[in-house]
Formats: sequence, C-alpha cells, structure tokens
Amino acid sequence: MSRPRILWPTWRLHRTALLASAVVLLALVGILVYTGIRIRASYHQLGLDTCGSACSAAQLNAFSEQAQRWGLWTQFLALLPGLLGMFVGAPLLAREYESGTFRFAWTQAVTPRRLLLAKVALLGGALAFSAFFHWWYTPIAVIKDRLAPWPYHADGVYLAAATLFCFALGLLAGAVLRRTVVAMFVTGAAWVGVFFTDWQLLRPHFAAPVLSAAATNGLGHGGQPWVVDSWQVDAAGRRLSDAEWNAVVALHAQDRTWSRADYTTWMLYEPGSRFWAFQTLDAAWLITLAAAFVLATLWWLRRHPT
Amino acid sequence: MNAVETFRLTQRYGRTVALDDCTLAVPAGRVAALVGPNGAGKSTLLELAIGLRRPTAGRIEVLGAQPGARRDRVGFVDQHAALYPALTVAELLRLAEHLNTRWDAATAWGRIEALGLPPRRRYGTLSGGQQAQVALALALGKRPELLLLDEPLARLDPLARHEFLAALLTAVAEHEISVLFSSHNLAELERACDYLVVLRDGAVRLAGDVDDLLEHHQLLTGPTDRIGVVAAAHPVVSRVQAAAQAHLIVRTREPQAEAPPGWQRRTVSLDELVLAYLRSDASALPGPRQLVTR
Repeated sequence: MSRPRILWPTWRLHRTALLASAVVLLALVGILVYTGIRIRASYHQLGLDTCGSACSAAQLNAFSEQAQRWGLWTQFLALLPGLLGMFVGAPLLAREYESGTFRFAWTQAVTPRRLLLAKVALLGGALAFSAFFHWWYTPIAVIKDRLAPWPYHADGVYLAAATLFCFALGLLAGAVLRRTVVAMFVTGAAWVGVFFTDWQLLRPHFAAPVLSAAATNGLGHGGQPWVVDSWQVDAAGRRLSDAEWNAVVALHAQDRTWSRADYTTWMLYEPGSRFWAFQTLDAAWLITLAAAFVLATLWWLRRHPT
Repeated sequence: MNAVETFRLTQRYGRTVALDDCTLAVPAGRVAALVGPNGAGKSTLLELAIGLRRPTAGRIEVLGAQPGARRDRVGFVDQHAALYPALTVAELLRLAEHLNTRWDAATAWGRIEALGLPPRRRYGTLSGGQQAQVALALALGKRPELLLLDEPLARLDPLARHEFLAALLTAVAEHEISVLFSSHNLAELERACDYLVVLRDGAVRLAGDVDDLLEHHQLLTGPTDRIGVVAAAHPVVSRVQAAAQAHLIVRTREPQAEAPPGWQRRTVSLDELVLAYLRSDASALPGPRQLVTR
C-alpha cells in the first residue's frame, strides 16, 4: 500500500507547457534585468538619485524618455495572464477530453479532484515574477506613479492573481467546452474583456478620486499619478468641453507668447498611496473568482464526467 | 458478493434512453461477457460501474460499494485504450504506479516483457493490439479485484485477439479477478466467458451462467402444425418456420429436457443463443425472477 503521488504525473503530462512557461518567464526576467540596469544607469547619470524633490523638469523629461525607451514594452505584460490561461489552463482538461484520456485519468486510485488541485497549486512557481517587477519599476516611480494603469498590472500581486484567474478560467472553459482551440479562444477573449473592464469601469470606483487644480501639468510633486479625468476651466470659472479647449489651443497655435495662465487644469486622480489597497481589492476579486471557477470545474466534472 | 449489482438502473442522455430500468447481478469470480448490438447500453453500463457517469435513476454497486469508492481496486480499459501518445511504455507504467495505491510492478512489467514490448517506445507508435495490451497491463498492475473492459477485442486482428484473451484469462486465473467485458463479437465468447449478460435497447434480455444457460436451452426441430404442443411445454425464445418444418429455440425448465414426441432436439451454441435473444422479445433472467415471454 502506498499513497498516490501526483507530482511526477503532473510534471510528465504537462512538461511541454511547464517548460515553455518557464522559458518565457525566464526570458522576461532576463529582459527585465537588462532594461532595469539601463534604466538605473540613466537614473544615476541624470542625477535623479541626488536631486530629490528639487529635480528640474529637464532632468525628469530626459529620464522619462529613457524610461519609455527601455520600459514601455512592459505594458504588454498585461497579456501574460491571458496567454498562460490560454496555453496552460485551457488545454489542460480540453485535451484530456479530446483524446479520451480522461477515461484513464479519472479512473485511477487518485481522485480527479486531487489530480486537478495539484495542477492549480503548481502555479505558485510563477508568482515570484511580480516581486521582481516591483524592483524593476522602483526608479520609474519617481516620474510615474505605480498606481497608473501601466505598470499597475504587472506590479504587486495583480499579475499573480490575474494569472490564477486566467488559469482557472481556462480550466473551466476546457471542462465545459471540451475543445482545446475553442477553450483557448474563450479564455483569451475573456481576459481582454475583464482587463479593460477592470481598468476603465471598476478600479476608478475602488475609492473616490481626488479633485485637484494644477496651473500647469503635474501636481508639483514627483510621480505623475493615475489621472482618471481632466478638464480645463477658463478665467471665468467655466468648465470647457474638450472641443472648446481644442479650439482655444488651435487659436493660439501660432502665438508663441500665449500663456495658459488664464486657464486652469482640473483633474480627478487616484493618489499613489492607494496602490496597495487597490492591489488588494483587485487580487481579492480575481482570486475569489478563480476559486469559484475551480469549484465550478470540479462540480462540472462530477455532473458531467464523460 | 456480486462484482457488479444494479437495481432499476436508468441512464438517459437527453431524450435517448441508454439504460432502461436495468436490474442485474454479475457474481464475483466470473469472467462475464456483456453482449449486445451497438447502442444497447454496454459502454454506458461500464462507465456507470467505474464512476465515470452518474445514473439518472436507480442504483449501482461495484464490489459492494459506490462505484467511485472502489476506484483503487477496479481496473478499467476503455474502448479506444486512449492513453497519452507521447509517453513511452515505461513512462505510462510509472504514471499508473504514481496514481495508484496497490501497484504491482512485477505483474505489470511481466506483461510488458512477456509481450516483448520495447519500454522506450512511445505509446502512439504502437499497433492497436499492442496498445490494448499495454492498457491491460496498466489495469492489471492496479491489483484489481474487478476488471471492466469496454470492447477490448474490437480493435484487434484475430491473432492479437487470441493473445489478448490468453493474457486476460491467465491473469484472471492467477490473481482471482472478476471480469466484466463488453463485446459485440460473438465468435470468441465461448472460449472467453463463463457468465453472460445480453443487453438490447438498454434492457437485460438474458443473464446467467453460460453452462447453465446452454443446458436449459435447446433447438427443437419438428412439424410446424405442432408448434402449439411445444409452446405449451416450454417458453419459446425464437422460431424459424416453413410450411412443413419449424426450428424453435426453447428454454427448458429441466436441464437437458427430453424433446416432445415427434421433435428432434439439439444443443444450442452460445452464439445461437445470443442471437435468438437479440432477435426475439424474450428475456430470461436468473434467480427468483420468472422467465417472461411476451
């Protein structure tokens, strides 16, 4: 008598997917190391480490240029959870059904439930990535707050929670649809939808944005925040529509002496201090839904085993 | 104890009824064949027994417990012997070893070696017969008390079929395993099984010990105008009649019963018996239930 051991089967059956994920993550870490070093180098070279709150606009602009050059690609890390869900999560059950091997897998001494949960738990390996990204972004936080949509999705616990979410979504889609390609498509499309819904409709309501007036761009302190909305107010205190403001700008396009002092920029923004609160909220609902998807998958497998 | 026992078991798929109020007992220690045409409900019954399905209504017990509860001591090989094609034979054995609690490596590897299968060959590159043999080796490695095999012979050529049955019967004799296998191939039955279940349209038509069934059935040949005499004495399972002469397969109450006067009797073969029950509406169940002829 012995207890069933599921580590080796999980590794052997998903070797390709696990290795491919590991290679992709390691490659991303490699690129993060390289670009991180470049960004830190220009951070020091431009003297941002010493100027503190007295940094000049020229210094900040120059650094912003460098940070964009080396760092803008990380926007696409938002796709990472979706891709993992598509290529690891969705085929996991769908392929068993397509090839008929579930009849073997579900009829051994180990229960399907344990077999499945072991696979979900393996995801833990991918979660260290976000911590690494947190280090990478540290210098850029001087010019752009962590709460801004980019890099928010790759920082903190969001990436890990989103990966879990997409993986569980892929599992459920695979169990219900039983076609690998269809399950992959549904998972990918659903993630794109969820990501933008969260960013545009959900997250701005986690806490009421702060209203602030700024004579020029920026708020007078470092770290451009996540601006949810902004508009111009003229000298008479009237709020201009976007069209009106564009007309004003066009009118003065040739006038080099025009000062915007007559107009005030008002903005609604989420202050950076809310970063961890927002991350926790996002992670909470993503992980709750992921758990619900896993339970739904187990329930579905019990209801419709073949 | 019964290896498989069902009570008013019903399985519907939407509006299709795969098993209809099916009550059945397959005793332990037997090699039982589950016979019937395609769509008779054979695969459904086996999948219910291994816990891959949940019945719409009724009850099924396997080795005296709920189907899922005995998955450690029930070996199952599905129709297509579907296993991971990229894994080698050795890896498949290791996989089954990891996923099971009573793994018997000696038995499983003994089967592979006896067949001369190269352990490093990928499963997907093996022939249909070899794949079926590997799947059987994995099932036997679980030290099963019961083997459920869904159409194990369907994909095999005659030689492979012969080898597979030989392997199965040897293993059964050595390890005292009960077997329930489905088949729509009648030719090999007589050699392979000692218990028979005939399913048609989701209902049990005939069930019982093979020797017992053969002793209690006979083919009677006699004058057509005197069918009534025979029918009064024995339930008629099937009849083929011409103007003068009729051939009846009847179920007799006594084993080897004497033929009525004017009739000649002959023993029936197992496939004649199965065909007779598949063609007619008669059903014959063992035990307390009476033979019914409609």
